[in-house]
Amino acid sequence: MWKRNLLASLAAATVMGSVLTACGDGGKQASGAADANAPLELSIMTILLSPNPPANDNIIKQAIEKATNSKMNIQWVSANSYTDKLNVTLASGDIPDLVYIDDPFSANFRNMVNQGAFWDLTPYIKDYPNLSSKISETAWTLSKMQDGKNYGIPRPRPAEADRFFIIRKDWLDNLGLKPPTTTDELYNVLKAFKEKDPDKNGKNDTIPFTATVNPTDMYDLQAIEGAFTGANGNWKLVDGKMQFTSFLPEEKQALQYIKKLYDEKLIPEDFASMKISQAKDQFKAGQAGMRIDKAGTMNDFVPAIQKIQPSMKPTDFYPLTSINGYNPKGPGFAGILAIPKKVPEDKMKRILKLVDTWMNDDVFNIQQFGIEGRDYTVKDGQKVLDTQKLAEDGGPDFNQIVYVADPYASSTKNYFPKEANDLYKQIQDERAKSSVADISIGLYSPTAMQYLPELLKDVQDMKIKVILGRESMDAWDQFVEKMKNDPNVVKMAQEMTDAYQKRNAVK
Amino acid sequence: MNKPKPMEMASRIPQSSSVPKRSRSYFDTLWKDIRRDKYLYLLALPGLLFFLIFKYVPLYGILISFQNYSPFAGMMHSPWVGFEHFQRFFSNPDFAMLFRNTMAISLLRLVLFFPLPIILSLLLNELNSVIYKRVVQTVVYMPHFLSWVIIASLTFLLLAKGDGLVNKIFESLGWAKVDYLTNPNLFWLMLTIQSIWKETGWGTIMFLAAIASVDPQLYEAARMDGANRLRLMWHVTLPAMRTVIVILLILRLGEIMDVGFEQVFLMYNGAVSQVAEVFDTYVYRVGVQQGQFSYSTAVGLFKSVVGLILVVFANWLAKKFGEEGVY
Amino acid sequence: MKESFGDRVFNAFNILILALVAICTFFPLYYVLVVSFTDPTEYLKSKFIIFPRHWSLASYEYLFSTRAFLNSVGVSAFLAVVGTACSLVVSSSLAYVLSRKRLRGRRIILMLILITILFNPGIIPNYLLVRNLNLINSLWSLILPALTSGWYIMLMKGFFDSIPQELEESASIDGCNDIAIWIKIILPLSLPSLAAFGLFFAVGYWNQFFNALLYLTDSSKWPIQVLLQNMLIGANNTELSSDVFVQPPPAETLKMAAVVVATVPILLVYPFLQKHFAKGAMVGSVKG
Repeated sequence: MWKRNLLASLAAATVMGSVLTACGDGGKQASGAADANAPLELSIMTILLSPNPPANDNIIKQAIEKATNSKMNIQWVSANSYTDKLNVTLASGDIPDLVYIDDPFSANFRNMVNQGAFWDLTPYIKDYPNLSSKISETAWTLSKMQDGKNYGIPRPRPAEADRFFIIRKDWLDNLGLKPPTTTDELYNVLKAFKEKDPDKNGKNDTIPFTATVNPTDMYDLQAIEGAFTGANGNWKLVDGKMQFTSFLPEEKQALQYIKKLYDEKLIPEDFASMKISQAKDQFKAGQAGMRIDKAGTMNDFVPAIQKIQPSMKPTDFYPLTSINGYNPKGPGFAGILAIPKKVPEDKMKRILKLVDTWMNDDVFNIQQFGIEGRDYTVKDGQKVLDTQKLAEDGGPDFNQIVYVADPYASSTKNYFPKEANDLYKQIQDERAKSSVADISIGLYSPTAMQYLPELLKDVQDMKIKVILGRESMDAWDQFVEKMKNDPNVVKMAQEMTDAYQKRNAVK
Repeated sequence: MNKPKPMEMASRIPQSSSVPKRSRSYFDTLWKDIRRDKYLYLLALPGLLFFLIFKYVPLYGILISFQNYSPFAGMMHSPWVGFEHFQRFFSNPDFAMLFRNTMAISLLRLVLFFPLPIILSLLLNELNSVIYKRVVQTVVYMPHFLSWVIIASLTFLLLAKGDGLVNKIFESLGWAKVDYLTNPNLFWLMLTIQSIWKETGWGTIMFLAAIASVDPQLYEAARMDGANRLRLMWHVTLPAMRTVIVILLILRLGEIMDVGFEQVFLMYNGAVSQVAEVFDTYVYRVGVQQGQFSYSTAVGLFKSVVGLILVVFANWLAKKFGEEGVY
Repeated sequence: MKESFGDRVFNAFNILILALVAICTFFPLYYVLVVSFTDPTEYLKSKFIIFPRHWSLASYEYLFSTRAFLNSVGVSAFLAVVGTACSLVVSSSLAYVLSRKRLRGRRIILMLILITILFNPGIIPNYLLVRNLNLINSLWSLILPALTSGWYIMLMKGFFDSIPQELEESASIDGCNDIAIWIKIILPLSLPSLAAFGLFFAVGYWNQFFNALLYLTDSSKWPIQVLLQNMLIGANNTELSSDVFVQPPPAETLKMAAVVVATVPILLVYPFLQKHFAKGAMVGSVKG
């Protein structure tokens, strides 16, 4: 009898549920201003990276609103929960007028594009000067969906000088060594770091290369994998066909190399279970000789190290140019700004105009420098920035909506000392000559959508076991043989190859 | 005055031939009892409304495990795929491993962890000094407030091979270092110990409240009969906690497939993958790129059904032993 | 009553074991507290700090430096107080009713509640419900959907089960209806369980994180846990933090300080409730 009641209540709930979800479809529909000159009212949703969410009456926000003739209602979402928040927002239908999509290649976003949730912006871009000129061609190309169209404005980021080896130059100098350019030289340097007391404290307690991994990728150690395979990411073009980099013979060499580093304690013994923050702290404590990062993070580390090892200079935070001729570069964008289809066309165009205007130097500088007299002062014709005040005023937060990429922003910062900026700029230019991009970004393979995550996890687990010595190299060979012939993997490679050729043909 | 039972009422009504007398009088007594208890129903109304609105209405969402759900399209417009997700889930070669890992961690927890708060609260109860009792009580329940992130950090600090505290001590004693964190044989035990440390104190709260509800006259009576400390515990205190213990046990069985995503995720590394991958982490990893709503809901549905079977069985068993049970 | 030798051995043994347990529990907590007050540089040099040589409030300053901090403490306090009160009323009323065996439909209701414990449809249907009730961005979205749960009802009912069924008979002869009985007689008898569950609810509301993240759109309404988690991002992620100018203290000291700040207020509640866990709260109930 209780079964009957159970079914009855479930049925009732289903009916109620569908009723309740059917009605109440409109969230706030900010109506487009009838008068074309009235300020554009729009809602925005984006990630927040700083501890303080900017208030609604934030002074920088008001300045930007004035300059762009708009009234913005910004929803700041904590960065590590953005995906969930985005999903429920999309499910509820209350999509803000301008929404930041952190991963435009997620199955979720692709599905929604297919279902017509967002505006195809491709035909409109040419009408807006900044959108075309200040956002690189690469960014626009890579962020296209599989139908070759752009469904959002890519948020530009500097492409060059992506995360790579950063080495303690002062330690190299102490030992009379030059910055390494090959994996063999790198090995020798690390060995010297371990055995020859580079920080001259009388103890052999250094960690030559502090590195961590992720559950589905090698993270810091990808730099070494890339040095052997010559590829950035999961796919490499070999004889016109896409191959999964972890199954290349060079990957085995990389693993043998890393295993050697592990066995000789040149990477932390606990690298497999360490978290990113712990690796950072090791470097900050002056214990480590090398880490993977961008030159632009210099200020995160050097002041802290100087408190322990006062002789370190900013330029001792030294980026390597390339190893075995390889160094990685980024896609040139991070996330896109999409406009939902339910926004009427003329409002959509006004929003594009808003972003375009925002990218003008004078407007963009509002968030870069803040308000004169408050966040910066002018001395001898130069702007002197009070970074603390600007951070409190939330200036950098607006970069998560609109950003104009200074090509050197990954390497240099306007608050670094000049020698550091000069050095980093020079190294970045050197790197640009040989940098390698991840060619698989944005390529669509339906099989990969389903099976790649599992494959990545299995591959990563196996790599760790091999490095730790729990599995032999022969086991790795067998694993690779087996996976290479797995029908899903074969299919993935085929689809990636097709997608790659399709994209190149379109150009 | 004794409230008449339905059967008695039925027998008082004179029997006449054709009308089914039982059903008539059944509804009569039903209505009468409801009227008698009308204030009880009124009292229960807010709670019942809560469950109806906030628990039952969203329950239709379970059905997305039979669709390929897309948030934008909503349930109305997402395609139906029947048991496809379940097939994919069960035919996954790792299914047995996931099942084994989940059950192992859960059962270890049930066997090792479950009795501890009970024992601890009994011990606390026996303390004579009120101050000592309060101090211990307060200290022991604090780990509950630490997030798993902190506990993982602390574990790492203690057990890391490179410069973990334990290994540093071993080194200074001239012993070999032990690799705790990447040793698959120790993984389940480590998780259990973490849970014990975090939750035992918190678990005593429930039992201490149960003990506090015992009529002290029962203790007096037992002491008069010559019972010593241990017998008092066994015959007076423990029985008072029995109802709560049984209910808690049954509910925990219902959640046997829930292992605590965050804890496992934080302690996971490639070397222990064989023993560390559980349903929740699997869904997270596999689904992350996918907008995996339907798949994860399907796995959740499977877990719930397993839990339901166990609860029904455990409840039946409890009733056989004369306990209250859950329903 | 004279204590036997056996009793004394037992007592000593008991005290010893409990001391051991308390120490094992305490040391990691002590570590958390100490690290939060340690000067960041000293922490980086040596992670095992028994007693910091250089005290520093750097981590706390960083946390308190946000404008939003006091505000979010206020929000969390509101949720804890109002939420707990509502939860106790709703839960204890239902649980009590369900403990009365004479109630028709009792078993069915219990079964239905059991279903809600076992089956969970996920975040989207719950979000849609909250939205359709127009609760998005209201603090009530953090209270109403969280009022109670099947777990609490079942356990509370377990407590009410031990209150004799005949108790109300004596009262109803005096002309009280069930609701009056509940208020005047049952609740005062149930103080230990109300204290325990009150604590559970309060901690639950205070620790709310994920719901707040989903249901609140206005970041000025963030409760304390959301704010603290947000602050830890920059400390933990290199990629993102290169955009942020102000350098946070080392990740670990900051995390510890965040833990201390987030939990001290609620930790202070338990000692006040402990007197309700004393023996003999139900003296002479049936006889009287």
